[in-house]
Amino acid sequence: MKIRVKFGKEGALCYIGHLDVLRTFQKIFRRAEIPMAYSKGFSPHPIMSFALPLGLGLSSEGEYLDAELDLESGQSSLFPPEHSASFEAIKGLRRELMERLVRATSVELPVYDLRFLPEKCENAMASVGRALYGLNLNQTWTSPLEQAGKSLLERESIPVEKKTKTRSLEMDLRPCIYRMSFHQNRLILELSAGSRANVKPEAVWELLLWEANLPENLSPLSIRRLDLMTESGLSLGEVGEEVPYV
Amino acid sequence: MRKLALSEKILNTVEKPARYVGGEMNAVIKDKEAVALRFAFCFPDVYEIAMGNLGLQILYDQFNARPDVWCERVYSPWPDLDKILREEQIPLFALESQDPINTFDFLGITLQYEMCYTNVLQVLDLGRIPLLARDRGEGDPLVIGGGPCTYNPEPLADFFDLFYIGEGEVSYNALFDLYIQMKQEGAGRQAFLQAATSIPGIYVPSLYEASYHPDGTLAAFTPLNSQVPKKVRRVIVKDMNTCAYPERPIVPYLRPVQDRVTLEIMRGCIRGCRFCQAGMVYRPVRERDKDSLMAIAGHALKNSGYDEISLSSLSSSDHSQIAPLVTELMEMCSRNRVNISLPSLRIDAFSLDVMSKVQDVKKSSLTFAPEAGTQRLRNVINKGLSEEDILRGSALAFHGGWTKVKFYFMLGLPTETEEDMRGIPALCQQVASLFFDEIPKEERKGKIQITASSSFFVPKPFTPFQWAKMEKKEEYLRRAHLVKDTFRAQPNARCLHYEYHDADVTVLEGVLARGDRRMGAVIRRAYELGALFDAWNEFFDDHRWQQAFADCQLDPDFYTLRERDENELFPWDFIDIGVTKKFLRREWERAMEGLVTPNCREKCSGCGAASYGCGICFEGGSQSPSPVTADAVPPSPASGRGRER
Ligand code: SF4
Ligand code: SF4
Repeated sequence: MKIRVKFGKEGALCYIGHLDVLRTFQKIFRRAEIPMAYSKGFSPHPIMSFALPLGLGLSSEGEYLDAELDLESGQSSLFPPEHSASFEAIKGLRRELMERLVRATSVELPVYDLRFLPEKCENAMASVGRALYGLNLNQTWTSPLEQAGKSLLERESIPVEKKTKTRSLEMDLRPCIYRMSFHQNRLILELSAGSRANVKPEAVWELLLWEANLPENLSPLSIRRLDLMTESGLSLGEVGEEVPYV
Repeated sequence: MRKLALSEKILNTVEKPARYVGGEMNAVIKDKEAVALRFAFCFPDVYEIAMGNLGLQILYDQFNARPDVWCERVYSPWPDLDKILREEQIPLFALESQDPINTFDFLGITLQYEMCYTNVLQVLDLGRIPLLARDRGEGDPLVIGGGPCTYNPEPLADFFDLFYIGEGEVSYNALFDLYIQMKQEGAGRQAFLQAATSIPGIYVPSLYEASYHPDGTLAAFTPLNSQVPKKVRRVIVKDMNTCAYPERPIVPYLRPVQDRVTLEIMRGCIRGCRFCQAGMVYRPVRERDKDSLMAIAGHALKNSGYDEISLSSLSSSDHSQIAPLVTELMEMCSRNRVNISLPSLRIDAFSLDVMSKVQDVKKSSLTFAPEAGTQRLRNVINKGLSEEDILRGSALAFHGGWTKVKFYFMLGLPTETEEDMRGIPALCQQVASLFFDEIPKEERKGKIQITASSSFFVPKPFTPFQWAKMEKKEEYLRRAHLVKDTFRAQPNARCLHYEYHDADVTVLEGVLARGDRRMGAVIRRAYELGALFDAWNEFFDDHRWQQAFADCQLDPDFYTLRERDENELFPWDFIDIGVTKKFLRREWERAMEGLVTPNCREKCSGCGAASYGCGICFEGGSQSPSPVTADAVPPSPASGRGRER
């Protein structure tokens, strides 16, 4: 049975890398006594994956993790709902799983939501297409940046150079920016993310500084990931249903 | 959310910022206004190493169980952050509250190895605590040292207000009670230190005076006033089953060196190898029984979420319930998909059977620690592992599919000859030949790989070899090269690999291990010259230390190249570890005669540790009616070998 967990990263957790957070979640599931399904092979590991790694130093309120549970093994007090299970019974299971996770995690790694995924659902990593970020700005730069933002959005293309390990490619950033809006001291960015084109908020930030003629060593007060979405803009937290089982 | 001591900018610059942010699972947060005593527990090395330490987890748990105490952690900042803290003048802080450590009541530093001594100074320095205890005033934390190196705390005497000699579970409560009471009464630092000497296991170095003979050896070591005890007796836990265990270990986010639950199954070792400090200073052997271990294991796994558990002790095979314990543990673990790791099990049919169930035979290796290459020298060091044991164990293992073997040896042991050195490759060759003889070609599952590694012997306080002399660096290297060349000449040289440890570090370790108070100046000078993270090859620089010795006009050879006189007063003699100096001397003499001494389970040798009134000394197995008096009657030489086997 597949589930998707929505979680956040705060405080110390902002400095914990992707793999360490994955290992931490494995421990959280164990503490919560929620049995995970394991991969086959000589060194089996729990089947669990993240939607998209988050850069070190960023906080978030919109991270996703897909996991496969093994409630059939009978190793826990949790049981998979019968085929004919009532709506209430499945809701009860979801509530129980949530409660256990919340109890087993820490305030700096909050668990917000949990959904059951249909068997054939694309996993979070494959379905991610956009990411939403909030950048907190210093008041004094807001208006030049807002101007710069406007002029960027008016362009048809924004060619930038993208360096890979071996060569540098030219790419167009314009279609990767779905949204760039200023709300007082806050800049909201909705950018391409995932395997097709992954644009980091820092890259857009650099572009804005350059366009606004601001010194390039300025950095936003903080960057926070707000959510992850599919290519078409649906939040990953809305994929699947709360109680879709059977 | 907690406020972090380091800015986002700094955290984004340093390598592995997770080392400095705390907030791990089971880390304890309290209201600092609501506690009477704040304790910063320091392991003076980098986070990943420090978090693997079991002692830290035990004391953290124990201290925080008191509502009036908040214990936090602090580790050595890695050189990248060290530089930033100095440049930006940020005081070193504890992980939990992120408050500067100089605002705490105590800074407790665990001393696990000599090569961390300069890191101790780094922590004090960055913590803005005066380096020298005598320069500290009322507002400064009390700096207390514990751990294995306190069995000779003298090289660090200048830097510590107190040392705790023995097992942490015993006296800290009394020390904290005393502190809290005296603080409320408004008593000063000096009064507290004086009063603390009445607590068992507490040593206050500033209340003792050392004087030296013209030849540099210690003449006298005397308390400054009559209330201070002449001897400080090591404190120990008498009953392991009633002593608390951290059932909620802190679970780091960064992968530590020990990424698992550590289950301490017993303390002490029955074997009495003559070079081994742990074997002497943790006597007598005290076990936790199987049922209490199973309960602890269950809780610790559940509360941490670890998927691995490791047995910990000096010699796990000697636990009297090892087989049923391992069997039960394996059942529990396989039900819950938890892996078991079993270090320090003797290789025999039982352990091989267990190992084949819990690990990949093809990838894992057998480990033997014969320490010396010939039976003669193994008798001298009292290592009861014979060639026959090794060959029998290896043969069993080869049939079970193992192809990798690791050997640990020491070079430079007392009485070592070239024959003993050549014995090392010879023994490895024998094991290689055994493989080819025992396993027919078609059944060989892989290439046999034998790795031998040797360290150089460092005489440690409170061992029978505490009188021994060391060699010069050049001599160590000559011996290592001789062994290496002999390895090359073996018929199966292709399958044999040999590596040896650094000789510079060995000599320095030797000086620090048996040094006296005068070493304090050298450690401080070396730190000023930039010595830091000396336990790390990439940072260790012997020149700094040579310079420090020269600047302080101390001769390192005085500490290493001298065989000590039978009656020499040692800097650590004021500590009473239970095991008597007389017993150690007797063991030294038996070593020189090549006589083996039986282990505690075979027969009590009256080492003195029975005076603690617990553990193996009072088990039926060791046939000792009254081991305390037994020490007064040393076995006569005439009783010789016959009695020993
Ligand atoms: S077996 Fe020997 S070397 Fe190992 S801990 Fe015991 S006394 Fe020390
Ligand atoms: S008194 Fe005897 S049994 Fe006890 S530790 Fe010493 S030698 Fe072993």
